[in-house]
Amino acid sequence: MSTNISIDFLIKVLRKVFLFQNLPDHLVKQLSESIKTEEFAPNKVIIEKGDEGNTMFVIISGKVKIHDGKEQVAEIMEGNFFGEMALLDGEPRSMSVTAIEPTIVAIIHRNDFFNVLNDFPAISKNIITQLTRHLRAQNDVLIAQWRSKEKELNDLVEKRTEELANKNSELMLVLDNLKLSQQQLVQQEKLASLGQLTAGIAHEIKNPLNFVNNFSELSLELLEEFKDLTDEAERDEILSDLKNNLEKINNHGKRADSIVKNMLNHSRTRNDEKQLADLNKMSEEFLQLAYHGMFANNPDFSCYLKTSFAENLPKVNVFSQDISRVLLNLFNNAMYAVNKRKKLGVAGYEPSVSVTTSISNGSVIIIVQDNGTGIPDSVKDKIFEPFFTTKPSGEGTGLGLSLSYDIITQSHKGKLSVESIENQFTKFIIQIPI
Amino acid sequence: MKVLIVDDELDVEQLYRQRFRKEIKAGELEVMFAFSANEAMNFLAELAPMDIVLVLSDINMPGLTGFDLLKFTKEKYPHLNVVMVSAYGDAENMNKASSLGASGFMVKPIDFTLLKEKIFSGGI
Repeated sequence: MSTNISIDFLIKVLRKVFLFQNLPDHLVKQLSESIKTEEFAPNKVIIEKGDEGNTMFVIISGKVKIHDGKEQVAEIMEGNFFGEMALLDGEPRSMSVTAIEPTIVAIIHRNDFFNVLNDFPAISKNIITQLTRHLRAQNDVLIAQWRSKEKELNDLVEKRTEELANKNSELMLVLDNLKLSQQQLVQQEKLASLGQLTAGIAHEIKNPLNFVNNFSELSLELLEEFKDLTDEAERDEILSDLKNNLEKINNHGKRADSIVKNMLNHSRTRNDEKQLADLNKMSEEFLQLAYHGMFANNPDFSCYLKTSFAENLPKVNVFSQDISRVLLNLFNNAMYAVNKRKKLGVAGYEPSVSVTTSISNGSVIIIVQDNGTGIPDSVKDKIFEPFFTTKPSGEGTGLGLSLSYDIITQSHKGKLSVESIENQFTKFIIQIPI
Repeated sequence: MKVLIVDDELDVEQLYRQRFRKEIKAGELEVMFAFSANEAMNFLAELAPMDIVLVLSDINMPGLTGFDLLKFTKEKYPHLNVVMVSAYGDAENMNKASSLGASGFMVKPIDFTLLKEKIFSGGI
């Protein structure tokens, strides 16, 4: 909005402005004549940061604030001027200016200003002085702002650091709890598989005991008979039977011993040292244990067991109770799968679980294969994840395969992989470097 | 008297032969062995089953179980006595055996004195 302000009044105003002090009268008059005046209502933007500018402003009346859009840098009143920087250097406006009160400004164009400057270079000193003052003032404001910002920031950093430290100790606590739960779960899984084993163990011990008891009783009877015999041939026959019986007693005693050892090994929390183990023997023993365990829990269960063991299989350094857990887990899963498929009642279905050992590329390979329900493609990626189970709730912990995977890949630097076609077969391949 | 003994443990043959040594020598008893239910079924089909009076079968064998054999035997040769032998003497197994027509149930370790009594006193 332009105003009706007289030249005389403008001259008076300009005279008061520091910048134009010492300016000869004719030049003040000349400048006043070239000036346009304009009125701004409160909150009206007079100049906008970033705009091109070739004018400067002298406040005739009112009040304005200089700001960068967010932060206010200064407030200036009548008799002061602004916008001189862009006028001098031709750069875009570095600050915005907005009227606070109803404000009337005199607008001086760059050409008019430079004309005056040419005619009276002495005012350069005024310009420099004034610019320096403006810059100093702005600088002080900026430094003060920066200081308070810095303090704010420091306080914030301190606060956040404290919050983080608190969160951190909370997380440590959660982590400790998690570790504890994990240990408990691993122990639970061990106990669960041990529970399943128990029945199998009972059977596997009673069978050798049957032989130990009966062959020893028989031997006593044979000895009694022997005492009364005179016929050399008959005596030889009894002696040969006795020798044979003692061998049987010895074998079956050892068999029972090995089973009990395995069971104890299996439930032990951790054995820190690897031992040389005969993986053929372990596979055979745990296949039997798993089979009898399965049978004890489901009297309807049955399946064919097929074994094919490499004769020259070298002993391998392993954490034997860990490997036994892997084997037991794979056998249990295989038997579960064939039993499930058998229950579907397809005619001619012969459930079978096989274990094969071999050597390949410096590794012992153990393949556990079943012709059970198979693993659908949709879950093949998930079977090694902790807590993944397809068994009804309460029947599986979902940890068997995930623990097996860790045991083979981490503790033994081996590989555990799976191949399966639904309702045809599942094949787990264990690879343990020799 | 012919008895067919079925068990997947090979050593049962020696055990039974020794346990019944006198009876076998005296010609009172003849024992035959099968090491799986399948083998036993073939045995029964091949030999005149009339000859055999008793089948003693383990329950828990790989492949077909003793129960499968029991069922098969009772269907085809109902006159044959079948006695089940198992390490599991629990009620579930015993009930299942008796419901499928078993004449008896013996728990391992086998008490041969009892078994002999049963065989020769006709207690089976």
